[in-house]
Amino acid sequence: MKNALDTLLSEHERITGERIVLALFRSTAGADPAQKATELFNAWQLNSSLTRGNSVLLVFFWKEREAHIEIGYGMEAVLPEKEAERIISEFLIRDLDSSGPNRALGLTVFELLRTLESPLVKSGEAERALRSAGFQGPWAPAPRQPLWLWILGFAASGGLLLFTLYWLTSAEVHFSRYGNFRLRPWELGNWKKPLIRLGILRSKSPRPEHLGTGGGTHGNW
Amino acid sequence: METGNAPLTSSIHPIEQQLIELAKRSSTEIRVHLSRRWIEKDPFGRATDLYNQFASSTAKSDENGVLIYLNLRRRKYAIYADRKPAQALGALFWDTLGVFLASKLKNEKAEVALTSVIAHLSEKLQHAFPAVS
Repeated sequence: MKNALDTLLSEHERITGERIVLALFRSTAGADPAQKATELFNAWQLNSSLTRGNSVLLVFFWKEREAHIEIGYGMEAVLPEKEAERIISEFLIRDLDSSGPNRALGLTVFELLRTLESPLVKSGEAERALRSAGFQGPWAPAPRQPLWLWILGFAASGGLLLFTLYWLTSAEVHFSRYGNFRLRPWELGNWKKPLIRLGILRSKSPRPEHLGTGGGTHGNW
Repeated sequence: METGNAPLTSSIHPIEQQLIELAKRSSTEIRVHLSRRWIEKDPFGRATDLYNQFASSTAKSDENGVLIYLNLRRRKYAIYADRKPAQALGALFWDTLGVFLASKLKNEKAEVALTSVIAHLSEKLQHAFPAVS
């Protein structure tokens, strides 16, 4: 993937005069990503008259999963800061979590080139180069799970946990002249009742009519 | 159900002993069901269901069984009596028995309270429904 990206960015620079530089670091080592990007941008003279400010620097820190795009003055019109932030959050960071670094970097560079209206994207050259380097999947970031799905998931898990706890702590013991028996929750057949009521299951011991004629009492203590 | 589960204890439980004694002297059957379920809206309905589920087929066909139900977590009780004992002993008896059970449960352990109530109930049932020799 590294070679493919090198080739692609060199070719883009050759055709358009726009320089895109990727700088990958293990860690920020306490530095501010934006400040580090500015320092590098200046140190590598990416904003100089030589490049006419037609440069973009993407700095990425693996450990912290933080990134910053520094944009040369000649590129600000085609790549506004907000668009750069969107590319980082939607393409680089999100895909890094779901698909891994190779795809995330490939997709980010492709999106940068697409935003800059690179001829390599229009001709399909960029796609071919990245595919041949092992890029797989669509040219779009991994879909974000909607919030309602998360809420639903949490609610379902919580409900299941409560139900299980309820089930396990509702022990029952039955005494008869034949012995006493601890009843497991599933032996009580409570889960069947709604299904029997709906007519999906048939009761093994249908309630005799005379049961209603019995008596007794009930209350609290 | 009687054959499918392992007994809770190897020795005979005092409640179980009382139920065996009753079976020798009376044609009726008493069952006791203890629960610790969290939600208990209708203990009497539950007692009726449990009676239907667990009472022996003889007791059900003869309509002479009784089931005592306690929810130890929610502190609720219900006594379900099938048609014959319900009629033979009368509504007042069952209400009094309920009050007796509640007062015992307030002051004593459930096991002790049940033993007293079963002893009292057994005595009445023995007279009303003596064992068929």
